[in-house]
Amino acid sequence: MSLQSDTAIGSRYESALLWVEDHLRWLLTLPALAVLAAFFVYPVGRAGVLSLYRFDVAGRQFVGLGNYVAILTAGAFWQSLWITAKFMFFAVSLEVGLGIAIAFVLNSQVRFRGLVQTIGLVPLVISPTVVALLWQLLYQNGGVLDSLVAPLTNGPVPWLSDPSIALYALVLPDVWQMTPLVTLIVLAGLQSVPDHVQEAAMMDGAGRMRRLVDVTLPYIKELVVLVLILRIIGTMRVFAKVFVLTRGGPARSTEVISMAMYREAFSYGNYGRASTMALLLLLIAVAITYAFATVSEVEF
Amino acid sequence: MVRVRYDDVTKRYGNEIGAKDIDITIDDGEFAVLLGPSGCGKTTTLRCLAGLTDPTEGGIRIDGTDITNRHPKNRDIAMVFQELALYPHMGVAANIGYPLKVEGIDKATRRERVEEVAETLDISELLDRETDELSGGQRQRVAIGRAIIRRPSVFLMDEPLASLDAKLKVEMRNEIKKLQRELGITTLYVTHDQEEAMTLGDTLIVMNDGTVQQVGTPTEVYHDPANQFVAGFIGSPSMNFLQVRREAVGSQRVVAANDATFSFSVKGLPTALDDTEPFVLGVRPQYFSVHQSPVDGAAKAEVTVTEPMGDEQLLTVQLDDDNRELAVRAPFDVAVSRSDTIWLGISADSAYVFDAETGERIRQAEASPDTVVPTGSRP
Repeated sequence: MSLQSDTAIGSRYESALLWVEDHLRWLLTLPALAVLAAFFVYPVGRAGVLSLYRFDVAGRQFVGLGNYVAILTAGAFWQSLWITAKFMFFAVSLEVGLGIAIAFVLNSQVRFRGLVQTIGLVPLVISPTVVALLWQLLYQNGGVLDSLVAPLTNGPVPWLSDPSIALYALVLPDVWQMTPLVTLIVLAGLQSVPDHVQEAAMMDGAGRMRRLVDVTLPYIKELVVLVLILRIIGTMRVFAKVFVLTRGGPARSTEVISMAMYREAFSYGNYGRASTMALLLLLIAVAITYAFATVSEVEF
Repeated sequence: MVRVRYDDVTKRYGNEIGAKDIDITIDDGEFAVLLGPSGCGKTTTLRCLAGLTDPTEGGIRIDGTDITNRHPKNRDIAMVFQELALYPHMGVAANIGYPLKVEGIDKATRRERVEEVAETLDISELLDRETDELSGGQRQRVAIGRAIIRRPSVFLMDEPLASLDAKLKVEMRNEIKKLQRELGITTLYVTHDQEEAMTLGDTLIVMNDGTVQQVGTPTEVYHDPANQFVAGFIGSPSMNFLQVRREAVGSQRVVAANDATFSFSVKGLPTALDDTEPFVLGVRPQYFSVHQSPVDGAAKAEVTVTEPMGDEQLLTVQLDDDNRELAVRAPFDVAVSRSDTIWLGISADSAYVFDAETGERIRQAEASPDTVVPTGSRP
């Protein structure tokens, strides 16, 4: 009898072990999956649910895809999207263009490279809010920037209060903060190009331009695409700088999507619409990333 | 006709000497090998010819034309790098054809030449592959293909076989030699592997500490070394060196220059030798005669290690009262084991004499019938 029960316990233990062995890969990924679920799947799912409701003083009402229809047919969303796209275009072009140029200069210049790299890290570690506050000081009426451009202008420039220049005034702090990121990543790529491959191309008869196109660029292509995607997504979500410097004004000229979302949720209390915008933004980001990776034939 | 000439080329890196007073000539179609230990300046010497390193002093001429300050691409020189340096983002055909693409040669001609080269190197079936799908030997062939496709006037190779396993190394070595003969391109090859150098080169340029020690055919360098460094570097196991002096004025017997008590008979010591000054006696392991009983003129020694190697055995022995160990090659049928006592004789024609201070070879001034110091006329 006791022998039988011992055998039963033994086989239960064995089968438990076997089960663990069979499911080991899932068990090991579980913690990561849990974190992903808590911080990504749940919020997105929750936003998905919220986007189906309308919130007003009477509480929340199920409206189905009503929020999507309302947002996509209203001009305000498209206007915000256009402003975001403009911000993205100018900020990303400048950051990536300048970043790559500086990386090339630093790569050929051995002296002070470490120093410049370290200084470059400083803006990156400052919170965007603090960056915005710093630039607010620079943009002050009669402030540093005004005195810098004084010889070219008549009196102070309304950096943040003129609708035609406010958006560009928001681009500058972003460029100041994020260009070093591009430089650091591209520089790392440039330094990974082995000297002997460059020399082989030289022996094969390739001049400077030819080597840049045939050897250097293929080596850094993946990093450039990566940094482009990072900055596109980054600029798409820009919020703190807009919030601190302009709050979307003047006359909504700087109301990027995240600002519109904020206003919808926390000024008007319409969480349904805000969630809908957030989901649409997510979709656009995914589409852009996918398109970039496909066109550039880069696999991450 | 492509003749390469180094005129007193010196390369300094700050206060460090990379290569000093390199004054060598590589004749048309010759396969010259720069040989020496790591850091001896052989790669620096090669890179000066490639144009990848600028000499601090001196100049380099190809067929009389000074190319010292020419850009690498204008020297008509191709090079195979130690790391092979294939372009990772290009396929095999694109890698081989790249020099032609840079030259602006049209696609069809390019493809034709690539196929031709691939056939020579027996890699036709690899042309459509990516470089990361290739084995070490295949990558090697692609690198060589890329170098020869342009039909350069000079071909440089910087330790191209360093990353291959022993068997593949021997195989590729033969192919490189065959290819060089067929193409007849003047070649400068760098290696630290003396076996590779001996089998490949028409001429060996032995370097140490940035300077050329000796230039000669493999046979000359082996049998007629210019100094103690060359004698010790070429040959495996290395030549044995002993600090000795003549036993007495005019004696043909040498004794240890230190407190040890061994002595050898060495016939025909160079007459230039001072009778009392110590000098260095160099003997290759295979030129000792091994006796198991006392023989006149032989030195007593104790066997410390035996390594059977088939037809012969390698013995490590310690001379009487001396801590220095000698390597000795003996026939396999000499029955000795550890702790046995043996007597070592030096057969005629097989001892080399070097200056104890400078390491320079001391030769017999004039040949005499019983001379023991070879003068390069050995087979």
